[in-house]
Amino acid sequence: MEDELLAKLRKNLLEAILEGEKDRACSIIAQYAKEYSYTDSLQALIEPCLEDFGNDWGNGERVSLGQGYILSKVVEDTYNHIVEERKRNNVTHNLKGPVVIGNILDDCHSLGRKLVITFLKLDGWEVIDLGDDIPPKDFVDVAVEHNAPIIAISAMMLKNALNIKLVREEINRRGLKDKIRLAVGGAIFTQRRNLYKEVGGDGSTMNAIQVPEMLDRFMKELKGD
Amino acid sequence: MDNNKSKERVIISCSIFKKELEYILAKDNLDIKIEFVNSMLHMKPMALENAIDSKIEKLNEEDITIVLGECHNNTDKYKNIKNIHKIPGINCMEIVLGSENYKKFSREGAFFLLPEWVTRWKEVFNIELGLNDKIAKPFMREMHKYLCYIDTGFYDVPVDQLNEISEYVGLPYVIFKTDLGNLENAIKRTIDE
Repeated sequence: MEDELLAKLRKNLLEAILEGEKDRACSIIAQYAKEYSYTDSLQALIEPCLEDFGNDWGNGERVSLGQGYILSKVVEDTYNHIVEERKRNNVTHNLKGPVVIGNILDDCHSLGRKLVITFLKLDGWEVIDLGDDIPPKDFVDVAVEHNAPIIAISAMMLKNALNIKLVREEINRRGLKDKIRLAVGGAIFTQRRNLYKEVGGDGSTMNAIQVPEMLDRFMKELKGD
Repeated sequence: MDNNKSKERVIISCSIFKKELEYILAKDNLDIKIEFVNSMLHMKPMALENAIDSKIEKLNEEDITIVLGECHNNTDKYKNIKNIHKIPGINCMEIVLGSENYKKFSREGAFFLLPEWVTRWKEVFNIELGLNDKIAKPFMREMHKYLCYIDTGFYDVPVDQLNEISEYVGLPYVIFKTDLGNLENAIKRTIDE
């Protein structure tokens, strides 16, 4: 596809999302997928859109919670199409993980976590979703029970994000520092880029679509690659 | 600058507490100037931070009490400024309800409504939260179980507006009556620091 046309599709997609027009946004992706595929639309359309959206979110002026919801629903729709596409083409992935995911104690903002789960599943990760408001100890208990090498935690606000320190302490207390990686994310981490270190995280990303790549890196580190 | 002049005490507060705060100060005979920031800035954290910081800058070195939740990303910076004290609390609901009640309702899936927001509910939902009539119901039903109106006693319970909101977002509502003890104590403790 010509760069100019692709740029126009990206612009139209972001505009449709910002205008709250989910069906219009999905039809733009469908238009692209007709010529290429839904799988290709991830990199060509969704990822740039997420980056632009994330930047606007960071600036705090242009985007709203409702627009974030529309974006998550557009991604969910694309996910469903990709699953169908893979079935049709007999595409299979070796299952990675598992990763234990949840919102930290006192945090009930699930939108970002759900978006991350969608991208993890697309990348072939087995996801154990604990939900909202999860006590620190529970993350580690479940990770040990399922032999999960990664715990991923979401928090929206600072006070709740600081509760993640308790997960780090629990991992270290049980001597699991070299066996479990701790990924953290959420609005506050995109605004304060060093906060993930303060709470004991091993890494954080600027948006949901970048999470699988970070987790792949963690797996390589754990294997000593 | 007159160095002998004693420092004035000033409160910078979210407008969501306007009536309640004015009542508390009058009741306790506290002669404290209040500067309000618009509660709609809750949805624009950077603009909120700028609004507060520009008020702080204008107030120079006066003793400042900030009556606000962690509604922008850098509220912890005030801890490091000698003449500024922020009251504890993650948001206005925790400040008014106290931590225990706030967490209990949050865990039950409550979406909180304070009186000031109810009076401007169309602006809150349509514009600030971006929940137009197509997505308000699916979003709210996915994220919350019910609406919890916090009745601080300073407004008549806006039953008609609560019914409108309930219909708009497709969730039932409850009314929780509270006094101002938590807000008052938080302010007094912070002022006494």
